Formats: sequence, C-alpha cells, structure tokens
Amino acid sequence: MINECLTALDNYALRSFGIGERSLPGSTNTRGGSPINMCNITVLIGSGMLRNILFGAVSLSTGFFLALSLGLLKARDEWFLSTPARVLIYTFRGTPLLIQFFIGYLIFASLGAGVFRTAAYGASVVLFFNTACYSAEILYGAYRAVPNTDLEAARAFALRPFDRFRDVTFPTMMRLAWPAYTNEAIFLFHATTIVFLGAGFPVRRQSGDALYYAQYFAERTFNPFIAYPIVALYFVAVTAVLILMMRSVQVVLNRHLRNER
Amino acid sequence: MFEYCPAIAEQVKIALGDESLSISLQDRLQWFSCYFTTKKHLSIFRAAGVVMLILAFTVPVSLLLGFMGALGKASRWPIISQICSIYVIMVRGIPDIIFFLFVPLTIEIGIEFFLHKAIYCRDVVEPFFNGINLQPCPDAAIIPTQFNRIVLAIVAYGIVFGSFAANIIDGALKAVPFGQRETGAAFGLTRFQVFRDIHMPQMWRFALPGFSNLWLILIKATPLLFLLGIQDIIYYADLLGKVATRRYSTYPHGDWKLWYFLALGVFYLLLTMGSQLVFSRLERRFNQGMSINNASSGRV
Repeated sequence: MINECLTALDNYALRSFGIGERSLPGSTNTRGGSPINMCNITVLIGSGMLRNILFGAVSLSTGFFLALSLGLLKARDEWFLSTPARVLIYTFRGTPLLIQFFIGYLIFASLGAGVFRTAAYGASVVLFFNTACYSAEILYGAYRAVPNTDLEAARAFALRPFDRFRDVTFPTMMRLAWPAYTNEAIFLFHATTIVFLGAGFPVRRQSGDALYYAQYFAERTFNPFIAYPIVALYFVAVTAVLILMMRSVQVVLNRHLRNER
Repeated sequence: MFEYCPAIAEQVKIALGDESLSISLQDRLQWFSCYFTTKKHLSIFRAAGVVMLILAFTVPVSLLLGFMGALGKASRWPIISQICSIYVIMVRGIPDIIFFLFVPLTIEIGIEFFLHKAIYCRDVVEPFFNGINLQPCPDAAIIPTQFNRIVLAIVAYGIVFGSFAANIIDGALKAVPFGQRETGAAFGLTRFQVFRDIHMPQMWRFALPGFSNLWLILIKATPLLFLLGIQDIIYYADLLGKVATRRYSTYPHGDWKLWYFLALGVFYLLLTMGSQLVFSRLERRFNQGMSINNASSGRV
C-alpha cells in the first residue's frame, strides 16, 4: 500500500503541470497506465489542486493592484475618471464568469496571442480581471466608508494628500474591506474549478485542475462517491487554511482596536 | 420563416461567392431577419426561456430548503441541528460546481441501483459495487434525457442555493432584536405565533440584501448548466457561432462565436441590471416605516 502510494506520488504529484507519467491511471492507451486506486486518485486530484491554488494566488495577488486603482478611480468626482471604472466593474460583475472565459478565449484566439490561448495563461488573465472588478467594488465601498473625522484629523495634522492616503485612508479602508475581501478570495478560489470543464480553453495533455481529474475518475469508474468527496475535502481544507491566513491579516489590521479583533 | 427567405438566402450566397456582386443594405437586413428566425435560432430563444424556467423553479426549492436548514439549525434535537449546521456552511467550503456535477449523478445512480436490485437484474451475479467501479447491469443503465437532466439540475441548484439561503435566513433571524420576541411571549403568544407574526415578518428586511445578492449569484450560475450536458444558450451559441460554409449551409457566415458570446454577455447584463432595479425598489418598500432610515446603505 505504502509502496503503491509512493509510486503514485512519483508518477502523478506534478502531473497537472505536465511533469511525470504521461498516461493517466486507468487509461487504455498502448503503453497502459497504472490502475485506478485510492492512491492514484488522491495524488492526482491533489496535483490538480496545486493548479487551483496557483490560479487563485496569481490572480488574487495581481488583481489586487488593479482593484485598488479601479476602486479609487470609481470614487473620483471627475466623470471621465469614474465612468470607465464604473462601466468596467459593472460589466465584469454583471456577466457570468463562464461567459467571460469564452469571450476571453475567443478574443485571445482572434488576436493569435500565443500562450494566452492556453488555459494556464488565458484563464489567469480572465480571472485577474474578474477578481479585480469584484474586489474593486469592495474597496470602493470601503473607501466611501472611511470616517470623515479620521480625514479631518489627518488634515489638522497638515498631512499632505499622499501621506494622508498612505497613513490614514488606506489602512482604514483595508480594515473595513477585509471581511468582504476574504469572501471574495474564497469565491474566486472556488471559481477556478470551471476553467478546465469546457470553458473554451483547450486542455493540453490532460493536465487539468482538481475537478478535471475528479470528473475524469467519476466518468471512468462511473462512481462519483470517491472522486468528488476527495476533491470536496481538498477544497474544505484549503478554504480553511485560506480563512485562517486572512484572519491573521485581519488581526494585524485591527490591532489598534481593542474590541474588534 | 418569411416568404422572401429562400430567394434572399440564395442571392446572398451567390454574392458571397462572386466578388464583383455587392449586397445592398436592404438585402443585408432581410438576410439577417431570415437568419435569426431559422429553426436553430428559434431553439436558442427557447433555451433562454428554459434558463428562466429553471431560475423560476430553483427559487422556491432553495427557499424551502433554506428555511428548513435555518430552522433546523436552531432545533432542540442535536442530530438535526448538527446536520443543518453542516448544510448551512457547506457551500462556503466546497465549490458549488462540485455539487452540480455530484448531485445529478448520485440521483441517477440511486435510481439505477434501485432498478438493478429490485427489477431488472435479480439473477445477475456480478455485484453493483465492483471495487471502485460501479456497474449496473445493461438493463438497469439509464441515459438521462434532456428533460431529466433539467429536473436533476433544478434539484442540484436547489440544494446548493438552499444552503446559501439557509445561511442568509439564519443570519436574518438572528438580526431581529430579541426584545421583539420577548414582547410577543409576554403577550401570551405561543412559540409558533411569535415566529409567524413577529419574528418572520421582520426577518425579511434583514434578509433582503442577502437574497438580492443570492439571486444575482444564481443568475450568474446558470451558464454552468452547459457543463451538466444541458442544451442551454451557451450550447446553442457555440453551435450557431461556428463557421458555416457556403457548401453545407443556407446562411453561410464566418466564425461568429465571439459575437454570439458577446450577445450572451449582454443578455446576462440586462438580466442582472433589471434584477438590481427590482430589488432596490423592494428594499425601499421593506424599509418603509422603519426607524432606521438607511438600513441597507450601512453595508460596506
């Protein structure tokens, strides 16, 4: 059993990135893959999970900067600054992610944009814009909720506009936005599962994400009761870790407040 | 559809093959009026109707499950309250798409198992559960029709959005000040009367922002029907947008997939826009006569 699992780790731990055994377990090609067993299922789905985590981490971390700019632009008084941000945010928030994936792929394909036609890069770009717009709305709300008294105090201290933003507005804004931002992070992470399920982007060499492999096993064995619970457990575990991480940041953001930790 | 269609289709087809011929604007418009009323296009409009129908059926199912989950969570029996607590937080940890794939398949297999055991295959020696593989005997294996798939999808959506709704209702029930219920009890109302006449009517006000959000999430989850093998608008957009060659098609055109998907995007955008309008009106109405004026604008 242990030996089997070590072999499975060897063969499939990085299979989702195309490293390792080429044929999936239970495949019926000429070389003959390894059999479908619990080790292979767990390792392969875990390997796909790495992809989900990577998608989430990349788009969330890069999307934050666009979100911040969009959120602040939307809060501006000048219409020619706020309107474009408003329209972009509304469009991405008002349309389903699956359709955004399709449109993204078709645009990349018509531009002939090499790597962006693959799921790994193209889907990341779509996810980047998607999460940026959702987070922008959260940050915009938080920006508007910054107490005016705080800003008055900052002005009374003769802080310059930039310092005022850096030392007063931004920290307060982040503190207010953080619970909602945690939610957004969770939902984004869950949304990464539809990339490989037929969202337009072609799957190359069967390197997919966790749900792609779970579906593969469920179809192969006609048994949804093993693969899907495993992928669900993986997601519960990673979501729990994500929530813990976000909460530790929240503690830092709220450290000056006595009651709201 | 229209009488002039065969003629105009033929004329445009010839013009497309011959560079020297040009197509007038009127012909173009006529051509499009024909193109958008072909049989296949009518089925994409019907598919849009099916999406609406699924939305309409999902809402009551998930509201019912949501109420059951939220009330069950407060139950006095620990087993019920624990099961319901898990149900309430379920979708926070697990992506909804997993349920959309899992639930229909599970129901299908349940039916097959029943058919296998009880009706068709009593003398088949091979077991249903064969290691990791599941094998119903050939007679018991079913292939779901489109209609079956839609029903299964509604059940799956109902379960997932019931969990979301339970979360919202649970929060809203807790948001009603305890003093309100206490007053009811002091007036000698029974527990049920307090719930029906005091607790629930006030709950809606707190639940409405959550429901509005949930409705938008539900709308934006309907494209996932495509991934369940249902011939929905995405299926048809993908089909109709493909290149139609002059040889095999009455209405030849290039790769119009992008336009079709942009149209779908606009369709969903209008749907969400309209919903937001309705909900903002509802919110105003529900908050009428409340001492807190801007109950909803305080949300961050």
